[in-house]
Amino acid sequence: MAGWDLTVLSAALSIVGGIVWAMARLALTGKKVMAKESVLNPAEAVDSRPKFVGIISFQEND
Amino acid sequence: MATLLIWVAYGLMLLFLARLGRNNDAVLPGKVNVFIQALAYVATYISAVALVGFGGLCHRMGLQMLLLAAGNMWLGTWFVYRYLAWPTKRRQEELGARTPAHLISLGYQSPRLRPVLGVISAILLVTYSSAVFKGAALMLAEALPLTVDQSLIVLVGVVAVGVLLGGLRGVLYTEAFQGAIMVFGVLLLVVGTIKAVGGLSVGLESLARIPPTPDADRGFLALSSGSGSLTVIFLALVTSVGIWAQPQLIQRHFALKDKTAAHRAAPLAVLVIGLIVGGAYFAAALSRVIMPDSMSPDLVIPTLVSRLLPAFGQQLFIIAIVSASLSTASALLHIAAGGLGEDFRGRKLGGAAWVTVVIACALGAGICAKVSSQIIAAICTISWTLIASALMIPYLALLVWGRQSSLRGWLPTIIGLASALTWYAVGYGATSRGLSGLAAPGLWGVMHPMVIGLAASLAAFGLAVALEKKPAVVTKALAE
Repeated sequence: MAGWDLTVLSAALSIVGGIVWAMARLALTGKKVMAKESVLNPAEAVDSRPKFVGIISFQEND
Repeated sequence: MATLLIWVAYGLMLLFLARLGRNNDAVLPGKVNVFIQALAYVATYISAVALVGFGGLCHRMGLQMLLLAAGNMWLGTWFVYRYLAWPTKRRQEELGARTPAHLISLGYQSPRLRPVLGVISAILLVTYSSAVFKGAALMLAEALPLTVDQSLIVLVGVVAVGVLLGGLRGVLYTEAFQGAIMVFGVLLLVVGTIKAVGGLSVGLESLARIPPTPDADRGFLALSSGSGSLTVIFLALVTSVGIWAQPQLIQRHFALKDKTAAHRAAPLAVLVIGLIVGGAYFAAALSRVIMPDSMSPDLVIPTLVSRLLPAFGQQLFIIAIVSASLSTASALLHIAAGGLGEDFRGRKLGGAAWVTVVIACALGAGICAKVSSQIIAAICTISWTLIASALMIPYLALLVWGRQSSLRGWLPTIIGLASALTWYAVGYGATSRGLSGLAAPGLWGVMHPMVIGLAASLAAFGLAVALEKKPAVVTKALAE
């Protein structure tokens, strides 16, 4: 850690920490959504998963 | 030939995605999902000015520039999605606003505020977009056998057609695509740089051993002393807090589906912006180990790319930089067209009026881009500050307290804008010495005009509240 000062080290760690936190949150959210779907209605859970037919599948209606 | 095909495919993809937004209102986005929302926000936020310009500064100033990346992640993105995005959407729905200027004018019950804000935003954002177009044209001219002027015409044309084809919704789709490309491009650069310096820990050790320079007077892993540290901190504040009230980013919140969507977009947006700015700034600072020569900051990233990446990687990175520029440019062009066409006219935009105003703004941006890039770069930074100084306090107050009187809208807007302009002219050494020959003494001379503008705007808001509550007392106090 030679040469680092506390401010710059904190900034670097907060960036790495933010990336790790974001990935964990995304993984957790995905897991929760999957679990909720399978508990509520296992048959529908399969059908309701997004169908990635090109970018159009990203759209949501107004 | 292969290069040309890649670029043609890229251009066609943009037009295809823009076309997906057709048949929607040109100014309102409707609702889009979390994925599009997060990527579009980051792509609008980060332009080539950030990647190439600030990347170059990282090479000169070292890892202290990571303060900007951390600020962009936490204040500019996480805080926005946690506390500002959904309240903005709620107020927009509540008031029936179509544009950010419309939102503020309805919130402050002053129809006359709308054209004023629309025109101010349009002028400043067309100028900003011209700098962004210029940056993209310089990169495209390196990748294809085109002159800078020809590249400029192609890029302005593609963006204008994209905005016309799909309106705001189309712009959001193209931005999301461009945001994803930016992530891949920056990751390539990070991996290439770490490999070139002999690994992460070896690279950092080598960086720590480089002797201090005037721009990094305590070494390349530490915050500079004195005014140097203030410059970095103010730069982080302007780029992280100043963006809260930028109309092109406020407008992205209009596309939120619900509160949950805002909270779900936060980690994705934080991840994307962390990878893009964190990665680019880290790689550029680390490149000091392999490129110790002093060079123009604008040349650092292009030189690094041409030295480290294979031909395909170079093309991908150039596409990433062009994407960073075009995503911001299309957002700016759209909001400027909305400002002139809808806010100024006070009528719903559509048909021939929409086409005319988009073409006019595109031509304005193209012509401005022909002017000296140095002047444009300065105006670009100033435009962010002026917009923040004028709009930030009224915007935040509207989110917190809802509809208010027109005095509370006008006074902070005018005073904030005037104070920031005045400080640029007579107080802020970097600009005022050239403009008026004056500068504030000592550390006040490096005090950024946004700080002055926001402080004055806040004081003006307080004055407006006081005037309304006790007009006689305050008037008497002012008279004395």
